[in-house]
Amino acid sequence: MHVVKISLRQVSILTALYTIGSAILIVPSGMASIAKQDAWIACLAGSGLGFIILAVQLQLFRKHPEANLMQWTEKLFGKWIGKTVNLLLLLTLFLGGPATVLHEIGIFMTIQMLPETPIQAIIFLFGALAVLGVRLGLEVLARAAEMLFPWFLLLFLSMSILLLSEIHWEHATPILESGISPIFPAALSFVSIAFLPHIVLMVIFPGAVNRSAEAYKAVYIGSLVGAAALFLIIGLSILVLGPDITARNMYPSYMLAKKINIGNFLQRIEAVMAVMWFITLFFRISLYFYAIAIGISQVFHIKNYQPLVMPLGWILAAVSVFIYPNVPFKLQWDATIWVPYTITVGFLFPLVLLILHGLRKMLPKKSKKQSDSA
Amino acid sequence: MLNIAIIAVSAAVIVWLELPRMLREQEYREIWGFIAFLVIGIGISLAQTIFNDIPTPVSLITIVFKPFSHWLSMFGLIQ
Amino acid sequence: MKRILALILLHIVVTLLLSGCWNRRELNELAIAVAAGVDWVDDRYRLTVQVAIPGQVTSKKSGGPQAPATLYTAEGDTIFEASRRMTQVSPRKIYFSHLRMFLMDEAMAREGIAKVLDLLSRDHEFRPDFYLVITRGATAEETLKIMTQMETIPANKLYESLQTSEKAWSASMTVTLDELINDLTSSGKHPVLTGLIITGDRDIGRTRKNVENIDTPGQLKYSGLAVFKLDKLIGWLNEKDSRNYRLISGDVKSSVSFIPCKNEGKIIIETLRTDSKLKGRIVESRPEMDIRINMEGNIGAVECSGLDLSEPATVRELEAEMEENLKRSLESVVDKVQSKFKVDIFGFGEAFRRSHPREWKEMEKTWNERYFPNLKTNIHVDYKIRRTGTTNDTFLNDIKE
Repeated sequence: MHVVKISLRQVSILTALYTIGSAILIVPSGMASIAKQDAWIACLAGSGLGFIILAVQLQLFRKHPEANLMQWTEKLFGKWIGKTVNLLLLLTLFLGGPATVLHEIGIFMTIQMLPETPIQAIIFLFGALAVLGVRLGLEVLARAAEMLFPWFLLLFLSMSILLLSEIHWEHATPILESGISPIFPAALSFVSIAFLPHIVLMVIFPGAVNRSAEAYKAVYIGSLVGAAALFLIIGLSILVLGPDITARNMYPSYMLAKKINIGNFLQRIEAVMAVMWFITLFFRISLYFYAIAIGISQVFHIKNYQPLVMPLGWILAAVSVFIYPNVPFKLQWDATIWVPYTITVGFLFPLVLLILHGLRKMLPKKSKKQSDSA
Repeated sequence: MLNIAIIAVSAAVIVWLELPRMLREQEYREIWGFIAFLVIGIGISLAQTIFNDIPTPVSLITIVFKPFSHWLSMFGLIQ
Repeated sequence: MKRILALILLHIVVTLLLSGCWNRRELNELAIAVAAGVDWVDDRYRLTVQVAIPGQVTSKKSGGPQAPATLYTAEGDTIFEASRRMTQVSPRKIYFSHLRMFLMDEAMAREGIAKVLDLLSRDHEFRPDFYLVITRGATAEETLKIMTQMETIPANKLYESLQTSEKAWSASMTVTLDELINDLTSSGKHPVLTGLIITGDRDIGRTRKNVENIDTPGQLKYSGLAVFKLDKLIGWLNEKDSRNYRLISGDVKSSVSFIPCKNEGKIIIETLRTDSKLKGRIVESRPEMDIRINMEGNIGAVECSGLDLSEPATVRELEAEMEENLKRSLESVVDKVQSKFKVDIFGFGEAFRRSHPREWKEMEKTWNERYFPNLKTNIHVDYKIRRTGTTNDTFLNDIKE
């Protein structure tokens, strides 16, 4: 199998699409229901917090750009504990990541566009697409991202510009009406969807970038682009729809696209705009799924991950159908369980690895024993 | 019945697409992994067709992280 | 070989899946609803839907045997039920995405419109861009039966005419679903919707005769604004008050008003731009409202002689008079709403919430009962007359007896 190498620009684009995917659909509503018209402040605060988290996640990557998260865990926890931890991580990520995002796109389609279509049909078709992409490998995904990203930008910017005439600035006032306290939970919910899951990228990128020493910078740039896009979409939701309707709607960004109306002529283009969410959600699912596929092949010492993709994709699609029994369950899960889960996996876990790494350096001789007995 | 037939046909197609190449290149580890995951997948799909209502697997994650969630909501970090 | 087989298989699967959208509906299977109305009749909903007939709209030889639109009516305990029951009379399923107008009759409005609105905001087929109005003195069903000239589909006539009259006359206003829901859920502003009446002969209005002559006997006309307390209709503003209300809410594009001359006759002034600012103040722990309105206009017509329009002083005089007039009429509408309706339809509370969020928390609960009826308002109008039209001094000055 040849060695996969992608360029720095591709890293940035993949990171940006990964950041935006799924967040663009669900983040505005969740944040507006907590922070009301101050959701944009929470988004800024969340982005600040997000970059601190990203710094922790990227620390190991920066020190040794060729070893990925799976290898670090095995090295620092010892072989068997490391493998167990990795398996648990991959299993929970599999359920919480691609399976839920795939279901999310199913819900979105059945609510907004194809209400009587069985959700299975949408999940299987979109899942098949992700399987195809992942089986072809990271290089193909990265090139596809490079091709599709301009389209995403075009749609996103045109939507923003077309909505300028609908903006009501008074929707954003009064600033900090109920004080600063709702900002924190809103920022946390932002981080849990837009930044904490970046841990997945630490499985994918190490060893796969052609200029690996600078790869961390590319991740930062991609995240910044992603965060800016999310800031814009949250701001627009608040300014155009108002905090109340943003919070009440399942998918405010789709509602935004419905509001576009230039002179009773350029209107009803939300289905075109939906292409934007398809692009980003595709990369979100594919990157999650790719990380899990190569993670599993590493745990079981399987050299070639490709034969695993189709069976795993089958499991993904099958599980995704019943991952959320109903929509209120999904909302509850996003709000209460997903947040602590991603904090554990996306922040505490790399932090523990970092501390262990630091300890090893300080006690170079003892550490071998410690990790065996731990 | 139709569902089970679809599952069987899809499984056959996947095996036919993947297995010959792996056999030719003697990737035995890959074959074991492939078969194991395919069996799990078929199992889940069969369970879905036979039992109508399968509890969602994320409830396991829910049980583990419930205390953490409570703790965060005490600080007002989750609403 | 295997590749080709796999490709064929893929194509079969894709064609099977893609060709059959579950609820694919072609244009010729749809009944496109352009207007819908809900009446509250004997504690039940009566849903009326005006459906455009495509052939009649596009055909060049207008005035065929068929009307341009048709009407379906069904009753039900819920609107959803009524809309599905409609398939008993309609040959096709009603498609609501192209709805332009949504009408509710007075009985429905007095009963409460919120339960109607939830369906509209929840169902995916309704887009948020149609206008809502209240029919006055007639049910929505009767209103939707009137034939119209110029725009053959009555719903389009209603839509266009509401838009133009909002822009050019300012006594009516367009309200979309999301704006209405924002007003309903805001604690500091109560909703207002435009009223719609049938003038003239209703019975002829329903027939083709209505559009056969130059003079149409029955017409649809927007009239006044319906005042709501939360989601229930409690009264109406007349035309004059409606215009002044719209001035305060600040979204008037253009309108016409006049000042009496010194002798007899009037000077007509066309307003071109308005901009109003509401600002809350707390004076001695009591709320006060500053309303600042900046307007710009042109002289539209002069009916009296003896007016020297080349003199800047005259213009200044006219401006001052205009300001005085407007101030008085704005004060009267605020007074009327404060004493008669006792609900804050102006959004004064909303303005307070934005400028004094902390004090508002305390006033919020009793705003309509305690604070709003006694709220002191300071109205400042700044009127600027910019141009005098294509002429300067009126020729009336030179008509000598």
